[in-house]
Amino acid sequence: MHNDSLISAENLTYYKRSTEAIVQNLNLVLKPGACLALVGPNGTGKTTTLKLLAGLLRPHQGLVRIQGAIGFLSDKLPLYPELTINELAKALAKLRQIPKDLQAPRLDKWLHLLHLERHQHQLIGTLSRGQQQRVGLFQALLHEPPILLLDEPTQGLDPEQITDFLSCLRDYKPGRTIVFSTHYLPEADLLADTILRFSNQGILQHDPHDCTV
Amino acid sequence: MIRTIAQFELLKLFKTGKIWTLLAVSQFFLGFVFYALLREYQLSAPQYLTLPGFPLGITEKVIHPFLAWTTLFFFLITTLLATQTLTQERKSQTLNLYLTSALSPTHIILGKFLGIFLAEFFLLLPVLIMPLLICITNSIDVGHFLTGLLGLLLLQTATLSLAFLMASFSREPLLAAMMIFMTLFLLSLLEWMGRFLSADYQWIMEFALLYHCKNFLSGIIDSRDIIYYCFLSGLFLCASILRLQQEPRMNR
Repeated sequence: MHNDSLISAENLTYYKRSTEAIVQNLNLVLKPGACLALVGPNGTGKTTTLKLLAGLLRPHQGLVRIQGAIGFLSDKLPLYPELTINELAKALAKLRQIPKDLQAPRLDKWLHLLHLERHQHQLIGTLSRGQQQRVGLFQALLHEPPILLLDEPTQGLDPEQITDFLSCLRDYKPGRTIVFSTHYLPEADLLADTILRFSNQGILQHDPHDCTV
Repeated sequence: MIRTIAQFELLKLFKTGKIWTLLAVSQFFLGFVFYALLREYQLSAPQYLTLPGFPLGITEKVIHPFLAWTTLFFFLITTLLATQTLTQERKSQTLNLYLTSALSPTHIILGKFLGIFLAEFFLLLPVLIMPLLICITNSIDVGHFLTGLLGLLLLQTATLSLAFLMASFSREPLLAAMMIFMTLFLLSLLEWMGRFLSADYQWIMEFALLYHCKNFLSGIIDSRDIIYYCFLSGLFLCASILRLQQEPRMNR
């Protein structure tokens, strides 16, 4: 039991079609300030791992402990195309129990940081893929949770937006825990303290700073 | 929090335009039914007045069958809305917005239930204006009408909670809609089946959804009917909450 960790997973195992293990005996302890990147090709278990950590999937074996609220961005953007960004933001602010006096400044802050100010009165369904991705990130960050779980957060963003977003996450990191998945190792190197490399053969741990595999 | 979720449900329904489409369809269909019933009454009213005993009034011949048609029509609306709010949201993964927030399954189900119930009530209000229009030129049995309305609301609560349970089991909206409609149909069919069974098995009719609405539509308030609908609603809502608690397991 790690009392100071925000996320801990013990012997996490998840099977696909009851025999094929997607995640096997994964152990994680993530303390405040930690950032973990899950890197690897499609179908190797990155999304499954994130969903297990978010509590959206129940592991076949093992245990996940989460301390605090989470912000979650899934691979399929969970958005309502018929609402404007502003309407969604206001509803989510209430659902996530952000204190009333903090709601407006919090909304303005994240709309500004994610370059969504100009589009706030636009229907989400009419936004481009990149803009919708930013709305997805906006909903995950709005309540400023201590734990952030992001599935391919930079998908659909242009290089400039990726740089902006990664620097935004770097500022957000102190005192919080971030777990994100990506296909690109350089992206993971920029932000993560620890990298878990997923492949069909299993998971390899890789610390970007001493480059030991 | 239940109120916040209900408000969000209403916002989504009104913004998509679905509620306006349903309003137009229900007004058109039930308006036509109301017109047909009224026309038939006008043509045959002299015969009713000559019936021995007490003559049947406009409440029995128009409002009673109109409320029965409204009940059946709202089976469809309930099916559509319950599927939209649970199954479709699960499919598009927007349900994850609720599940990853610090909201309990009880809050999620009750909030969504309240939102959809209020949306249905909004659809029902203009429909109820039709029978009240009779008051301009004629008099209706207000007590009878209100009792029928109470029955309709209780039945709607029970069917909506049943629809929630069915919708919480499926990932495909079409499949969920079929499951809900078939279950509502089968539960209504129990009454019809009971008529063909011997007296020993007629208790089966007590489980029929519409059977308990008949008393209300006839202007009778029977506590057994109220208990039946309240019990059914509570049971199905609790089962829906338990089902949502099992969501991570079911996602496997």
